[in-house]
Amino acid sequence: MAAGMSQVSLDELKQLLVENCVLKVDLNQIGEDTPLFGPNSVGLDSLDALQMTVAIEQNYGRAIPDSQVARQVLRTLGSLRDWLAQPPP
Amino acid sequence: MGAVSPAGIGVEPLLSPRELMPEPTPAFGSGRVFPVFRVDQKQLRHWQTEPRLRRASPIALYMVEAAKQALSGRSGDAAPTKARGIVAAFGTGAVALTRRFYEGVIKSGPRFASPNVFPETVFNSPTSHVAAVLGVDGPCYSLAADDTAWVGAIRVAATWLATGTCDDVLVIGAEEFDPIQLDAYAAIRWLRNDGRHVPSEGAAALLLRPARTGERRRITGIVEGFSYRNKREAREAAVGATSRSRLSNGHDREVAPPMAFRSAQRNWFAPIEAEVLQSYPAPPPLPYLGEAFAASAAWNTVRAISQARGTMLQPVWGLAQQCCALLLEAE
Repeated sequence: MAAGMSQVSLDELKQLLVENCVLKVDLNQIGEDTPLFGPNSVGLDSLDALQMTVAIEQNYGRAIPDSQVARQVLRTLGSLRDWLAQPPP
Repeated sequence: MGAVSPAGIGVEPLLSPRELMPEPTPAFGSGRVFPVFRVDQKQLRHWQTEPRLRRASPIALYMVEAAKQALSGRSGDAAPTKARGIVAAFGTGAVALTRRFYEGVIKSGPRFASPNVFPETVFNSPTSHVAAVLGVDGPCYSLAADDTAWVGAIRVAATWLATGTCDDVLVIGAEEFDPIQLDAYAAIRWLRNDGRHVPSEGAAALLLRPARTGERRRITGIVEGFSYRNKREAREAAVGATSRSRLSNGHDREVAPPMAFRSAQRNWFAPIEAEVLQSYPAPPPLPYLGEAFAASAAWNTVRAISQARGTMLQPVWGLAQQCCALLLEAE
């Protein structure tokens, strides 16, 4: 399941984000560099971070090991896509 | 006062009979189809732009909307509120997201249980959403029962007002529908093919405060404690709850309310209600609103004090275990 992660597209991650975090936003408003948390962001909170962590493991078989990694990985959809493209340690 | 019902958003749609058709709805699991009255949720979408309500269950949206209407309609002469409380009454609570959460646990295992949905499975979560969105920082209770939870909620609010715990109290009756309820109601034989018991959903809210001289609308009596275990006892409980000698206005004066509000719709309690209320002038119930437990009881209070004048008896037939009544006055 962890193999082939480089094929994960931005659109697929947008869909994952919107469905799991119940966002009422236009998908086109989310770019690969749009912050997911904080000011001028998509508006996620700590519950969304947990939800995304669970959804990523469930969909791609990659567990985010700790909160430090989560902060980096879940900064933007671009950072998430790049992390998924890397081979697991 | 405020209301959300299958008839529409606001109190006005509750007051005038209208043509509403229930939606044929398949039960979760069995797939058997039953009629259900639903709230048009498109009219509440604006609440989902509230960050707190983005993930909230429909019942939270119904409650926030009804409570907001109740606050908007408060009298202009009201003193600034130092302490506002909330008492909410409902039966199954946020059942749609609760079902979704446990469905996810069963399908994917506890490791992938949804963190986002889990908080909505906590019974008090819809009430906490109301408190947070409307900035209420006083006491906040949720009561779970059948229709009579509405009367219990009014009792709690009256106690808070009498003891000075609160200056005013939002009392909210609410119910949310999910197809899993159809299976449960069918199992206990409330639902039959005759379509007499039609589940429904929505909310109504009152902003209660201590009565002042010249107050146009009052709740003057709260009658509780008539429980039953079977139909025979249900009749006795109904007689007890509506017995005129037990209805006082708080000054040990017996009162004979000239009008009663029928609320049994067409469910199994209807024949008992017809017998017990035969001596009262009673406007017909509104079957088009369906059965929404505490929300139904709250809708009927809103209807009674909006439409009638003088003293009114509002019996509240709990379909599960007890009968209660409210005594209302309106000028």
